[in-house]
Amino acid sequence: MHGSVLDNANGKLKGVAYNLQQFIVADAAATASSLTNVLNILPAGTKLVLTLNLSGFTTTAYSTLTLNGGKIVIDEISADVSGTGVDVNGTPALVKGTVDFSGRTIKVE
Amino acid sequence: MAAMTAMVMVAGMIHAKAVTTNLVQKINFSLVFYEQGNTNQNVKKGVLRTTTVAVNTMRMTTRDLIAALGTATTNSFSAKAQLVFVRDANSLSNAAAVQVRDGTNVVDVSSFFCENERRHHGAWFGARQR
Repeated sequence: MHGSVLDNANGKLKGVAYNLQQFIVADAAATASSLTNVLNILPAGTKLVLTLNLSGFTTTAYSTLTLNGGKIVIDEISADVSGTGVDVNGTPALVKGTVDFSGRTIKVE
Repeated sequence: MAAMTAMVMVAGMIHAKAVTTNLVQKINFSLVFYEQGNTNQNVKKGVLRTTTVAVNTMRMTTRDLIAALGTATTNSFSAKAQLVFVRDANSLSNAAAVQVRDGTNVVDVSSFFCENERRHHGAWFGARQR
């Protein structure tokens, strides 16, 4: 679901989109089962001990940025999430909070 | 002479670092973990009075995640390290990366991240490698 405004005179676009998204932070050794069942602990050999399997209402604000005469569309997102996880001590947990991607910084590097 | 010039040019190309124009965004996690705590029984004079079951809460921020990523990648990141989403601003492809940037130390941690939908106008994380 989204709403937007496109200025046909200059090509500028801005808008907002709403959807449900899932965010996973996990070691490659994690299995689908270990990510969805809070009682499952990650298997031995996992390098990243902390695991997150979150989903929730996500707002994506987007707008154009002029770059070298062209235009790119930049998304900035803010998500209210909940789900399951495993903390750095290996303890399973229910998790809630926010995940944000923000910034319009362009770097030549 | 021409051959030598060509060799120098080739050598220069080999050592030249590709310059890209990147969109760099900060990633921020602010989470609360709810964990099952201990069960304690209060017994007085041989009689069970109360049983207490605790729920422990713990905050987890981006800094904690960066520390865990450091352990997983055998890096020790400073307090100034940032978790960032990087996309080539000039590319029409969905190629993107998640990195920890700590001064000049840049570590790609994309393989630890996954998202189930494409972003509205660009790339999210790449598919997780299994």
